Amino acid sequence: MTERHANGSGMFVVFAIGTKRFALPAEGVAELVAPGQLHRFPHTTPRLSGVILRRGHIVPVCDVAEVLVGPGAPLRRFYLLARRRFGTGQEWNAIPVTGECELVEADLMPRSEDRPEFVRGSISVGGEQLEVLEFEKLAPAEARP
Amino acid sequence: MRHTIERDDQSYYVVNACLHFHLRPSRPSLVLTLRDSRVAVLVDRIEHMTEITTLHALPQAFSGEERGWYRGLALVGERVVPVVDPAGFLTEREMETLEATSGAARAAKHPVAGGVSA
Repeated sequence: MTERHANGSGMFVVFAIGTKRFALPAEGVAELVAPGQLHRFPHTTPRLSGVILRRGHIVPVCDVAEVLVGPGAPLRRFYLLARRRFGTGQEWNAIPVTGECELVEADLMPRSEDRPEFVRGSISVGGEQLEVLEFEKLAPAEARP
Repeated sequence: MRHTIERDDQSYYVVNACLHFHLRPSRPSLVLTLRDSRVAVLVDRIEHMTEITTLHALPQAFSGEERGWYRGLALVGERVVPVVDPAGFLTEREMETLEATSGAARAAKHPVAGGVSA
């Protein structure tokens, strides 16, 4: 995935949750993963469904659908692996998404004042305005040692 | 913690694993006494014994009480299972409180030999 271009445009990964589409900066996205076994165990962290195994690594599944589209989100068949920062560290988390994703180049427009903090800005794709998300603010967590 | 058991002249504080991990109530029938600890854990059943060769760190995305419950995660066969930290069942403060309470009540306590009523 490439860095932002000098003219202000950048690369973004567009994904869908139900009928709504959103985007993440491409440099923070690794891959789209086919559905696999979700491993659940007791915990108290909101929005974490469990973990999946990917290439020998344990990846937490962070389901942000309710934040983005409200309750009753439709079935999501794939996992989008995106980078999530924790202070000075980072790890890959999986976001359940609907269907395949799209890599686009677009200009990032600033966030409107009335939009939530987890919206970094918006891009125009095929005439549709899509919100670009900031994962860390979408699912804030303070990791303790 | 609602019960204690006496075994080999040692008192154990019994922690209900269901309540500890915020699970649905069950009818546990086994007590696991932990080595080098005054804690015993009330569980439903023992599944099997296995050797764990690799302990994976609990991902930072997990930020709740589980960070004190688990040492990490392990692969057992095809499953990811949490590895419990025995020290996570009772905090130091809770242990101190229990020790102080049980010390004061020891004179009037009737030991329950070899079991506990759930």
